[in-house]
Amino acid sequence: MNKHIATLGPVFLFWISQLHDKLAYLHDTRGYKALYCARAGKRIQDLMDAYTGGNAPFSGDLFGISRIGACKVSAGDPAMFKTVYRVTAETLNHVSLADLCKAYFQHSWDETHPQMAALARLSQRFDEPNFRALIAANDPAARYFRDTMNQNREGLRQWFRENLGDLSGYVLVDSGWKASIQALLAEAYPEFGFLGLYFGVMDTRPLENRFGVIFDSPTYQPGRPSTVFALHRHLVESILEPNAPSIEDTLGGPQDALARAQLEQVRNETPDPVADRLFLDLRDYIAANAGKPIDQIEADYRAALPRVADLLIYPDREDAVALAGKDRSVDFGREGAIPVLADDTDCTPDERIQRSLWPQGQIALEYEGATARRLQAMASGAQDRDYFASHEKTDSAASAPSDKPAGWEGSVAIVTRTKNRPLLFRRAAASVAAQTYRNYRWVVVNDGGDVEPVRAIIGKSGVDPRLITLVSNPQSVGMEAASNMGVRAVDTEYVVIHDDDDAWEPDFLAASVSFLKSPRAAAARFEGVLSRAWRVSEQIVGDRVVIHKTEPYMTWVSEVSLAQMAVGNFFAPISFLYRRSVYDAIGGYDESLPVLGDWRFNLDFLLRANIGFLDRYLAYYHHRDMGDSSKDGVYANSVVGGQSLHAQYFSVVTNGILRDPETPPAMAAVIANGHLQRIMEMNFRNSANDRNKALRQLMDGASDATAKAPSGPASLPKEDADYIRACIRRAIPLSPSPRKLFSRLRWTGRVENIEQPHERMKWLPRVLHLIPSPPDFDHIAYLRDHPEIWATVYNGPDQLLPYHHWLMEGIDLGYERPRLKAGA
Amino acid sequence: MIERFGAIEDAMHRAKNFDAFFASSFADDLMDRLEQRMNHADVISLDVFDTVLLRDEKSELSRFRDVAERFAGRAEVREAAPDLTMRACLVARLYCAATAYQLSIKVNGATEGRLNDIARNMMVSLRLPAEMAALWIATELEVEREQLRPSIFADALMARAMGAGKQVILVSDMYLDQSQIAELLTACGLETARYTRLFSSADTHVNKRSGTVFPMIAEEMGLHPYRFLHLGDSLVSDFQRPSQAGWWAQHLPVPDMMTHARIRDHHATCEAVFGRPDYPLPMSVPSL
Repeated sequence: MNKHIATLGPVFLFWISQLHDKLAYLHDTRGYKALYCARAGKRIQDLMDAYTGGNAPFSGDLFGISRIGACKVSAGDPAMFKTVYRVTAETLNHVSLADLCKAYFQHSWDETHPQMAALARLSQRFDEPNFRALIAANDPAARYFRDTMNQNREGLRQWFRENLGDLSGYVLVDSGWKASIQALLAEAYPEFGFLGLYFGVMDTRPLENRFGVIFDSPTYQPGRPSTVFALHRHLVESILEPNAPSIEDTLGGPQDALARAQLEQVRNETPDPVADRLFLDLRDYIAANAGKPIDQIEADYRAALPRVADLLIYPDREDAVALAGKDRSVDFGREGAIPVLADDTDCTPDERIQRSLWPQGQIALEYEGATARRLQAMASGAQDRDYFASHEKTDSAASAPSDKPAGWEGSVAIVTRTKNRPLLFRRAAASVAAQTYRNYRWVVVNDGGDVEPVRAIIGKSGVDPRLITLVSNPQSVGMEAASNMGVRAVDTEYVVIHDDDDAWEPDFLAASVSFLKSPRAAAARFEGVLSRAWRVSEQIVGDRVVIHKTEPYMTWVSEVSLAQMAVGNFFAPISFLYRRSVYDAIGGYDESLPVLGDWRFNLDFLLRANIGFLDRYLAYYHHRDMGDSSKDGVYANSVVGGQSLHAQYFSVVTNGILRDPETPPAMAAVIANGHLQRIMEMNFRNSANDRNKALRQLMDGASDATAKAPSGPASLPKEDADYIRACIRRAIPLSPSPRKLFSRLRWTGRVENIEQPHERMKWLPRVLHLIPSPPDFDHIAYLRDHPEIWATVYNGPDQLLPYHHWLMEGIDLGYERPRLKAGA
Repeated sequence: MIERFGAIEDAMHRAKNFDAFFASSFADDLMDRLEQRMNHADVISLDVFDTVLLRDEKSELSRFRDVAERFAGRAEVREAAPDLTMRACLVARLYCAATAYQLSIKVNGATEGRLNDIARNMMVSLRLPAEMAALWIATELEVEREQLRPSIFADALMARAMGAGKQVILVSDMYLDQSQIAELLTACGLETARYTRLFSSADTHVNKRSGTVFPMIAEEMGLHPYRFLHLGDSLVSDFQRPSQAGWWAQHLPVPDMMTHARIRDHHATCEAVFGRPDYPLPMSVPSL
């Protein structure tokens, strides 16, 4: 047995054995039937037969399907548009709608067919708006497209019903990797409850009932050996690809006979003894070892995984050639194949490596020895590629002081100040309880409010009671003093202020602590971290909080500098987690400040340490800036409700800093510069406001002017007027019949001045049914740009068309006449 | 004024074992607190395993190993599969359970494995006759019975609750169904009259872990959530989730020393059976 089979054999045997057990489970408990999705499904079924000897304890069939086949059953349903577009766009780029239609019709494409000829003229780019317009359109060609796709859907539905028998649902069996077919079929046929079992899943988009038996990860993760297949999934695809074309027509649909013939080709495929050596040897391995007990199969698999990693990450030349596999055949109605390893001699080695579908294998062909291994490690993410990160050593992170108790390292004090705001406090409690990170102490400071509701909310919050401390002040001591009391009530490594009206994402603490513990944070001396926040505008109505708007807060922030902080505070406490040691060095929050205390603290912090930036939205900064709750009373924000106080205390803070003899000269300079910057910003804002106001006045004047003229409908362009006249003449040809001749003469006269708005409005409605859309009128673009007409008679299956809408209304509304590109 | 919470829970965490805690004065404080809370509840709800029935310091992995060993040694099994090993049975148990939890029907977003289904799937994996699934189930229940004992505290609490006219229900996230759990309770000396209803996630699919079982029970019993008081050892399933559902809840944690012992036992069994203490298995390692 060669080393490749000795390594891959145990993996494939484990996969098939687990697949076997899972299919048996689904059959036994849920009445599910296995559908092996051709083409890979054919060889998976072969491997399963090798394992079971043909006696599987579940029902299974070979199923002829492909990604484009699954798109074809759904493309006619506007409700499924998003999924169809996403899957199609993954493969078809920079093509036209005509190319799309050709791919969808593929073997039945016939440009002598009038509707397909019309589809062949769609030169619009294939993108989401254009494709959506095509699905929504009701001209004969678009209807033909939709009807054909719908026939596919109903035909396949019938096939599913007939093949299910007494069973309840289907489980799709395939190699991987995003389960697009499952997503499409599950959406089109919810009644069959589609599940999917794959060798591996590589997708960041979640999908229910999709399972990777060997791995589920979009990338290779060194700590999870089975994910190494993410580096070279083509190996698995190549092993499982039979020598037969993709099945791109639909069983049960208009091309059912063709689909069945394609399926038979797959079913009867013959593995090539050279190109398919790996598959044949794996099949033999499985047959020879199927009798092994499950624990031995599992142990062999575990032992093989490190060897798989070695083969796929550090292949030598021989491994690269043996494991490259067959050229990757393209699908989705296209023909051709892409080599896994590039062999273009007119490229550089680096270019070939970049183009290759298996960079590690390509490197083995281009380089040798230590150079090859180093490059292969970099390509796999097994070695830090960042030259500039060489200073970030894992041992540079600080370790916990020895006098601290177990659990102190990584602990966070969450300080929540509250005063008679049970409605909001309950929300804050839920936010704390939902944190995935558990090493925290929650300190609630009831600052002069009624303590019983606070106790009751704490009791029902779901927060581990051992982690809760309640500090209750009979009289209010003020925001900053309350914060200090909370921070000093416990001993933790980190601190964060979680006000009673704000909230977090469940992984705020986990992400923030992880950031500060990282070597990068240690190297940069980040002692605090700021993450992004949503600004939530809300209103208290009775005993409810009504959210009016949620929008990103301070989107321009991407780093935290002392110079910028000197201009003004630009983040809320809810987003800021920091190391307690800096708080101790500062001496806490300035209790003399009724407002802006957090700004003063942030300035003092930045004087001593750096604050890192975590570019994730992890917090919610709530404002009661609507209605009565905004200005006064317990629910007012300090920012919104105490606006004039902020303005007054701004100079109190800055003057205090400048007067303090302990203030370093650099800080004084920064504060002074901050003042200058504020003046500049204010002047710029005022100037910009004045300019905007003037511009708006100008534009309002212009639009008024536009609205005023013309006074009536617009004139029809001559080319369209000539086109209409030609259509009338064609529709009412010369005839010896006096009645028909009179009709022609009458209508020729009526449309002679059809350019005139009055004539157009008078006569066109009676002859629209005689006027087809001109060849150069881009009805797809018109529908794309004016979706308001989709549900009107101008997009109906009857005789009115988007062109007619432009003739009757669009031209008067100033809509542009869209034109197809020349040559379409 | 500074008030620290969780003294009773802390004491339970710090106790050497269950017996040590329930012999301490904290147990009296706990009973007092529960009696007070019972005044505001119509239904007292308890978790089963490590609450009403107490486990020892063996890990779940060890327990499964014990079951696997006993099963593989049974005469009927030796006759059907002379080469079958404990290790093979154990691996089958672990992987079939993982399959069950992964692929069982979702109800309200919650999935749950059932021992009956797991056992049948094990027979497929081990290539044993399907009828031997019943023997595996019987063996597993047998080992469970030997390794469980009733909580005298819980029993007393249930008696007081019934005496005060409250309904007592048991709610368990478990692969054993209601009848199997009831069998264990009876075998451990807990009268069925002590409780009025027994909910197992193996039957309901909705479970405590996801929080989905609490609204279902409240609706089924026709009571407001705040009329329920739930107790149990899991911080998430028995405290956070019922609290979030509006129930009153009391966390009764497993003492940390016992959890540490179970962790050590897990790793020791891993090493003994698989050759490494950190051998990757499709099951969770016990955790604090």
